[in-house]
Amino acid sequence: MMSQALATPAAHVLAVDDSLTMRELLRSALSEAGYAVTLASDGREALVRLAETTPDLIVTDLNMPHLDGFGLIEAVRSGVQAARIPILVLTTETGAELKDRARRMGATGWIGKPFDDAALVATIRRVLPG
Amino acid sequence: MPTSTDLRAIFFEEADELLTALDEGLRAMSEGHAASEVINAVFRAVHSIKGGAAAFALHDLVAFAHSFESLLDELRTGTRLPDPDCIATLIEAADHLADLVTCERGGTAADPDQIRHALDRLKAFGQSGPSQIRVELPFDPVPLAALDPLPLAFDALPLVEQTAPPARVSIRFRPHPDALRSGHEPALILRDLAEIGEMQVLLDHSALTEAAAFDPTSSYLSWTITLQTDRTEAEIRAVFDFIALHADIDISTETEERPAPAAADRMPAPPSPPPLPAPAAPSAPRPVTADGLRDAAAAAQKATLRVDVERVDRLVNVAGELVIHNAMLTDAINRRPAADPHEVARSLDQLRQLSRMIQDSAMAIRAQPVKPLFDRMHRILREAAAATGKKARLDIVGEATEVDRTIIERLADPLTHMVRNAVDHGIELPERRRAAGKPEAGTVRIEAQHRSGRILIIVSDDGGGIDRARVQQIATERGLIPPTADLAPADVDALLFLPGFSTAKSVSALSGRGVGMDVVRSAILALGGRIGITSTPGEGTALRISLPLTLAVMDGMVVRAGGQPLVLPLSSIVETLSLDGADLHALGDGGRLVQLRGQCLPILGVAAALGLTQASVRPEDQVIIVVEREDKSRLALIVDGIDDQRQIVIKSLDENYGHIPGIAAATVLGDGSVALIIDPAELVQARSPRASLTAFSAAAE
Repeated sequence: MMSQALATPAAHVLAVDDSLTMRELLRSALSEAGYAVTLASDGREALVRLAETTPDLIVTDLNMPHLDGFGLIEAVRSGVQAARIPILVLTTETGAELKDRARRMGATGWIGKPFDDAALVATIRRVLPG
Repeated sequence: MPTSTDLRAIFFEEADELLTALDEGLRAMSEGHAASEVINAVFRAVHSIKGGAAAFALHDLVAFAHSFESLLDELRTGTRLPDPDCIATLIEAADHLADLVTCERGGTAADPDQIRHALDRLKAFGQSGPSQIRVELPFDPVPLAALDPLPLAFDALPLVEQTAPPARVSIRFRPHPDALRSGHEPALILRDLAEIGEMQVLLDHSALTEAAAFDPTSSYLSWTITLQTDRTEAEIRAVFDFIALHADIDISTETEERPAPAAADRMPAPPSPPPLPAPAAPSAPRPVTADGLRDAAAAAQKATLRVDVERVDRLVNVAGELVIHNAMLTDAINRRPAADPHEVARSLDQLRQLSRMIQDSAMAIRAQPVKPLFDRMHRILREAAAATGKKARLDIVGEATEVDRTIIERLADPLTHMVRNAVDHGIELPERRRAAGKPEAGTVRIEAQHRSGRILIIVSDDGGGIDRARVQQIATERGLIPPTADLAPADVDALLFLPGFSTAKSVSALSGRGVGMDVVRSAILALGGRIGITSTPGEGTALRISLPLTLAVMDGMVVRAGGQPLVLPLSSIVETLSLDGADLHALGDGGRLVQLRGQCLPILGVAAALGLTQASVRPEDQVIIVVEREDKSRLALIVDGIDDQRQIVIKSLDENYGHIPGIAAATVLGDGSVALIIDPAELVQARSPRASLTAFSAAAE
């Protein structure tokens, strides 16, 4: 289902979260809004996906096993290919400290958890041309 | 596209996994493994449950998980040490969290008092303790309603208190050189500004460098924007909030009468919490225990199955081969001149093999390891030990053993009961164990293994063993055996399985509930399983359960009655004999008995019992099949003949016809005809409630 917000080729979002529930919520909301979605369950897997494909946007949780969101941001920003991809971090309202730390490391913005689908898409539209 | 019900189901399934991980982590911590990975994994489990719960607006769960998480955070950051007290509190909290998940899943309200109590316990602990430095428990148990998940998209859209008159706002916006490297796009910010007012933009490109030194990832531009808008300064700043750390932003409002308050600058006032709703009448508040909850949960939950992709691939592969093979076979049969019969026969053989592979692959999809089920027993054991003042540990062996999912589900209750029994009746009190030269803590061991196409589950303990004298005494008191009965030790042990038998001196809170091992036995038999008990005085007791790997296929005996093919479950059949020459006795009411090795069994004609027309088979050609009911009572069924003994696929009738007493299901036979599968237990029930006692007494004499 294509939303009117996105016409030509669907923007590609890499969504990273260690929680299956969150991944499925993201997948459902993003594909409903017409985005192409790739999922990864932690930072390490996200880097593997990034080696295969260059998404238009990364949405990532912060607290994850193996490689957390900060590590992922650092790795992406220090690379060349994906260095300028907008990165939105998923944080709860209590995570202000983490949010700022992530931004200083190069996160573009944040999505408050829990999110509703409209808010998620509105936030993405703030950092993704289209 | 997944519906929200699907997503909810995914959440609850994941929550189960996370709770298991949580239990495992806490167990490792209680055994002294407090490495940071362990603590992190525990923290993440609780954190993920909280996150998912918030997405589905499960407020009680979110609030409790939040307090739990705060305590774990202190461990994670090292401001608190994982001492035994702390770990005990965490384990208690984990149990409560599991209860809350179960409540939410079943859609039942958790007891509010219990929630408050658990929260208070966590808080009280958080505020005490020598190693505690920092207390951060922002959640109060009372205003849970205030936790309504505000769609906090970005704190960008505060409530507009009153509409201000349009003002001219002047904005100077200069991204830092590195702003682009954080994924920011100034053009999008200009676009967003244009949406909130009339905008004029002046570009300042004076910082642009010459081409040779130009770095495309650097930002050289800045803008001066004049905006005619009725929004407050805070709202305008919100447009810049993502880039605020990477840009200079000066905003000046040119309206005199209403300068924007500086305080509202970075922190929009939070919306005032909605008034507390009147507390909802709790639907029958009751103590939240592990097993009361499970029933509620089972009723409401939608089952999903997570399967290894590899297994699905295998099935799809074999199914593909089947299609190819089908084409080959069709070709071989239709070919003119006809193909060699041997070729067709060989082809059919391969087809049979493929079907077998498909069956195996399909079974593998439903197969699940017993680990989650076994892991749940840690809590059961803990609670049982606490309730009886005993010390016990659980040993699990073969947790990777796989069995059909349905069986795992239906094994939960019997297994729970057996573990409780092992603690309550098996393991001795610590002082008695010490006196017997055993370690204070008893061991309950659950073991699973595959054996000849079935799964074997052994629940054993290293307790005192069965007190046979006492068992026999109770059985005599209850009239289950005559006082003169001289029973072998194994026969005495088997008395435990008789209905209503319970060795508990009084109905204890733990194993009470008016159920005994007979309920366990019935549940196992209903699964097509068998159960046996062995015991050595002073050394312990072991229950051995053997179960089929699946409920979709069973071994059956195909018989005829009233001109119809019928199937009897092989597991219920004790023996078969010819009616001709059997030792028959007539009863007053037209019934008959057969005497068999000293045992008198009531006789039941299957055709008559099912309302089928009597076949024209001579009585002397008829066959007696002795079946055993789940309570061990026996019955002699009369059928017209035995056709075959084979594996049959079970097709449920309940969905289309409802439950038909005496009929368990149906199956399709090799010739395409449909045969009903008899449930001997129900045939018996309709007949004689006293059959069991009669048969048993006769056997004992």
